[in-house]
Amino acid sequence: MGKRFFVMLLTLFVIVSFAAYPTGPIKVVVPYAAGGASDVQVRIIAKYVKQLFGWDFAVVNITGGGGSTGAREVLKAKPDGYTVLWYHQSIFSNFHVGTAEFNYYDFTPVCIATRGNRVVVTRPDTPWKNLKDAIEDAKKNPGKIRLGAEIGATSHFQVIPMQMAANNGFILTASSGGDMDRITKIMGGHMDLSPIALSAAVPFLKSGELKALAVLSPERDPFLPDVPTAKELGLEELVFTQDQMFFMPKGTPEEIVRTFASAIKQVLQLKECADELAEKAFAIPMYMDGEEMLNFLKWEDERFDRFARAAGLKK
Amino acid sequence: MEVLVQTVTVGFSQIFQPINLLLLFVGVLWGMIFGAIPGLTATMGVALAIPFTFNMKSISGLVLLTGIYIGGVSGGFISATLLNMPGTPSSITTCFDAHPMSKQGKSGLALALGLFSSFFGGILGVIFLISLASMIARAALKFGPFEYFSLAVMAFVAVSSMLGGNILKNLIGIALGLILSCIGADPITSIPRLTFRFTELQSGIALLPLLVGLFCIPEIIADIESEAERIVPEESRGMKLSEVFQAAKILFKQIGNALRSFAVGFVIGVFPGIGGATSNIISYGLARSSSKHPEKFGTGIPNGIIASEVSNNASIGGAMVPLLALGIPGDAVTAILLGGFMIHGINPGPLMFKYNPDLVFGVYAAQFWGNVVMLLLGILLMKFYIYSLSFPKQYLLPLITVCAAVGAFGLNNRIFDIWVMLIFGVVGYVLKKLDFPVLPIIIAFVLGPIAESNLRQGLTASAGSFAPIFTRPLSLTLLILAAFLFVLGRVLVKKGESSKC
Repeated sequence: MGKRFFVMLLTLFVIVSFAAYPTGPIKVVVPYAAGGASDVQVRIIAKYVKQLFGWDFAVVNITGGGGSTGAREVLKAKPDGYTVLWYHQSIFSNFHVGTAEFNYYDFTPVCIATRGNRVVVTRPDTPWKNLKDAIEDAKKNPGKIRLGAEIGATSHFQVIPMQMAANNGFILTASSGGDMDRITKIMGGHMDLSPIALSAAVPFLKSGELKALAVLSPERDPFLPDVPTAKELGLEELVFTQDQMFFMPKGTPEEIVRTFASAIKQVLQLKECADELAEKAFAIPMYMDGEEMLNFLKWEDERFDRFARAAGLKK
Repeated sequence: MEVLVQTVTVGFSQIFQPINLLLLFVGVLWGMIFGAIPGLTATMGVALAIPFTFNMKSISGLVLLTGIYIGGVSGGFISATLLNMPGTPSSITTCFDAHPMSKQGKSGLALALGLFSSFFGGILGVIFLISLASMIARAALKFGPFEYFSLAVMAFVAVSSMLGGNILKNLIGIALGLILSCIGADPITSIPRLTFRFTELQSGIALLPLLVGLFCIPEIIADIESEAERIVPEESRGMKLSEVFQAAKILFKQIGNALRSFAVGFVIGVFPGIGGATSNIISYGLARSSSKHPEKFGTGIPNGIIASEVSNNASIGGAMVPLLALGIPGDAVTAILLGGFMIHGINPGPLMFKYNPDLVFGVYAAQFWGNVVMLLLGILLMKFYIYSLSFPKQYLLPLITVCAAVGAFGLNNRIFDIWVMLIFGVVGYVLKKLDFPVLPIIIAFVLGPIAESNLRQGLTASAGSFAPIFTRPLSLTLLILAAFLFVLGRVLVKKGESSKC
């Protein structure tokens, strides 16, 4: 009797406490600087979460270590649903090159929310019409064309299949400081081509200061309908998207995860939210949770592992 | 010219809407408060304000953020002058002469010089920004990794050769700064270095906690140790209008110094990643080396204040050049400003001139009037600043310490950074007792990584060849300039030993 009563009480307590989630602001860690593509997206989502559910997202930027510093803060946070990480494929690249000692399975994956595409860009005066031309050129003239990437970051993984297709004919050229740095270097002639987040590249593509060679997505991008996908150019391996997802610390109760994920799902169904994400961050809603999300994470992780080994990055 | 006319007509009419004018005042004041409190910086002032701009009209948001930027960089001279603590990294060298001058009972004049120099550097920076932004930004694109490397070498040589004092101590300081800067992820391969398996160190040591630790904490301890009841004596006069005019007169007498410091600040500002902390150190060093009385620097002469404050405000105009013309941030604050702009759906860069020209002119006008507002607010409020800093030290010092800790925490939201600040506070205190200069540590910490990262990036592009350092004309020119400055520095240091920089 006593035991049963205790269990009932506990269950009741658990239900009540979960029903009450969230009772205060939820700290959302963005592991990149304020104003970057990641940051802008989550702030838009936060706005609609507030509108729809009245929840407060406290967006906190913790930069450094290619995102791993911020991720680490969530890794060691209390698993109570009040500290959430907003992260993307860097979780795989950081793990496989050794910048971070943790992978997606060290967290509780909550849901995938948005997708942004990557686009390979060059200067308008280069002779190539698309990525295939550039690769052929590098094959014929090895050691002449400078292919830019941030070593160890996702952009590096994106150039590995290009380098393999070109029989290592490109000069792998390092940048630091993300997309803007590579855009500057390409415009200044210090680098010839590189994969860039669409959100960073679009203004320069529109103004004609950069030229797009390929989009690294499975389908053509709604913002660049005339640019071929890598797949269409016969580069099957070169499908890389940037998917923004929520993670909670390992051991977060399932109820909380479900409550949070379902709120995000409903917010992403709002047309205003989707429009604002498109307009300000060139991203589209791309919701996935549960088993489906885990399968996707596993598939991506295996790919990053394979490329890291192929390029000798694995420590 | 056309841009200038449009700035005046389109931009100014936007600024003079009551709400925007009010926001400009609020922004500049907010910035000056952030700048004046050690540890709180312009970067943090802007970052904290961004959420408030969400629901504003684009132009209003931009005006507020621009105002904070201007106020934030300017405010740093207040605490440098009165407390001998650089309010922001951009006013390190302001301490050297402004504080001694203030100690001599000339606080009013020292503050007036800081204020007027800031105004001069700021307003001239805006004029250069408006008339030359697009041209300068294109020219800056020609700077590749090798040129950045040579530029960093030049800055490094120029500054370190001008360091007076004990050569051995300077060298040890430089080595220490370089070692500290190596902690964290390798800039090219991201592999952790010198972290001793301590994951907190993987993202390295941040400049702000280090700076606050080395400069402010020892000063706080020294203030505790001193007999005086107040750090800033109550009877320290406020700033009079006559002193502002006097400051203006001194500045125009030293127009050579002012213009040179402006050029250094503006040019350094244009190059992404180098920033205000470097520009004030370099222009202070140059001012000293071209002075007939280098030995007087560090004793409280106007020359040093002018050099430091003109250049750090000039670098605002410089840093706005690549931001507005290309969408590339020139320093930490403009990186956050870029974020603020993007939240309003504005992509700075060539497209902004095409699609939102009114916003560009709005930003220009906000920059221009922001400087005027800064001067006015400075004159009006300086008495209040002095008053609030002349509280008995048992109230003031804990408050400053807390603000410094909040500032160290705030930029990255990590408790770890507060520990960094405290540890380097102790280190700074010990160094001070040993009469060991901390400036070489900071210089090496700031410039070392720029040189390393760019050299290694360059080497990947040249497939391992060092030749481009000498064969690229711009790079070679910078190296020759470095050699020249080195010789100049050594000659001058001999002439006037014992100074701080």
